[in-house]
Amino acid sequence: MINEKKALLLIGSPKISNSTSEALGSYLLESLGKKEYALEKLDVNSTLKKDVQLLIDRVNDVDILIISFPLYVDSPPAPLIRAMELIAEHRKEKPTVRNQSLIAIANCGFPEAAHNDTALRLCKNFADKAGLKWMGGLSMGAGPSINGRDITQLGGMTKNIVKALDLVSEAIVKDESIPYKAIEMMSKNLFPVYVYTFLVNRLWKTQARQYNMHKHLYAKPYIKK
Amino acid sequence: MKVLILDGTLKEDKSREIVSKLTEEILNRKGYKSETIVLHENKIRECIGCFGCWVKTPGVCVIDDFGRTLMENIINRDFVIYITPVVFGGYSSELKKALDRSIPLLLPFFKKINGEVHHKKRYEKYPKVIVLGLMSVEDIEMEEIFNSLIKRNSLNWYNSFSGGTILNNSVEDIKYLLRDLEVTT
Repeated sequence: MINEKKALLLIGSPKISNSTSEALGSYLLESLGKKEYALEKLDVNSTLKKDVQLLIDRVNDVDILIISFPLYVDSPPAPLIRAMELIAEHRKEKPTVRNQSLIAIANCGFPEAAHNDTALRLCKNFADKAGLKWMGGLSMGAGPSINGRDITQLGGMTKNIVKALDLVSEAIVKDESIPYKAIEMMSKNLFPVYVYTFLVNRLWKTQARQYNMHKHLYAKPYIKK
Repeated sequence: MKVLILDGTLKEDKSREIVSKLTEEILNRKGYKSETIVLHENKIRECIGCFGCWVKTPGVCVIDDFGRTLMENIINRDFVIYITPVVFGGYSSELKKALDRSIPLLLPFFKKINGEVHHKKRYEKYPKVIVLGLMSVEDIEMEEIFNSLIKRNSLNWYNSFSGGTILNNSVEDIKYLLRDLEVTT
């Protein structure tokens, strides 16, 4: 269909597999597919290495851009920031007349979603600078609990996330900002903080055991003797 | 005392070189020796979020490139200065690429600090970081985001960050942001 709307998901995680950012973004993207949107998905890190022009062209050609990323050192990962720099620079030189919108989804490894707040403000600023209408940002903590899995198959743990993303896809279709209810549901703790902290702390030891490194987790390799 | 300057300006932006030079001059007058690393001139691959630096080679990134050398350099300094254009209120992709590789300097384990969960320290002491954010036009929103990012970094690195924005390479702004570095001679 010539008049169908287009949605593009930019996956901002540099992880090669098991990406929570991809799982969250893909669910939203596929929800839009059911609403007759044409869909496209690009991995930011590999696209930057292969074809920067493709990234810029695809962004220029969509109605709704979704960026989904993990929090790295309090902000989006470096490749996503590079993509934002290039996109904004290009659009400053060649502004588009098309109405285009941006939604951002941030997830972090801390149990509390609030760690993502600054990163989402940064995404809003990017939207303003790149001439995209900011429709809002979603934020979730305990991201590694999803570990790239289909969020519809994780039972009660992701129930609120699925509901939140459903509300967001409805808002996109109506060209409305993300409803507050969706933001609230998405950012609810998946687990009590003490439970998540206990489980994750134990997980590191289990993982290190695979490499026989469980007794060296506290190593200080860069201390100069 | 030697100060490490991480120049995170973008390759395509030559107008910022002056800030690096001015910073070195001010440090020199205060009696500090400085070493400047221009990040885009060094091969630093992006962090791939594998957590190998926590469980496979604890404290060292699994990617063997300049990122490793840089982290050893950072943790053994008393002061590190970041120079970066303010990009949407954050750091440039060049600076961020280096900083994303800094997670082996912390432990994977969590602890609660003032009601919020953070990673535990790996090292006893972390350098004091001063962030110089370069802007060519005044933009209150970007400044606010930038200051918030410095504050968040500081919380995660045990209150060791300060800094702010510099408008049009202003010498006065640079001097002000470096005020905490006491004269040593």
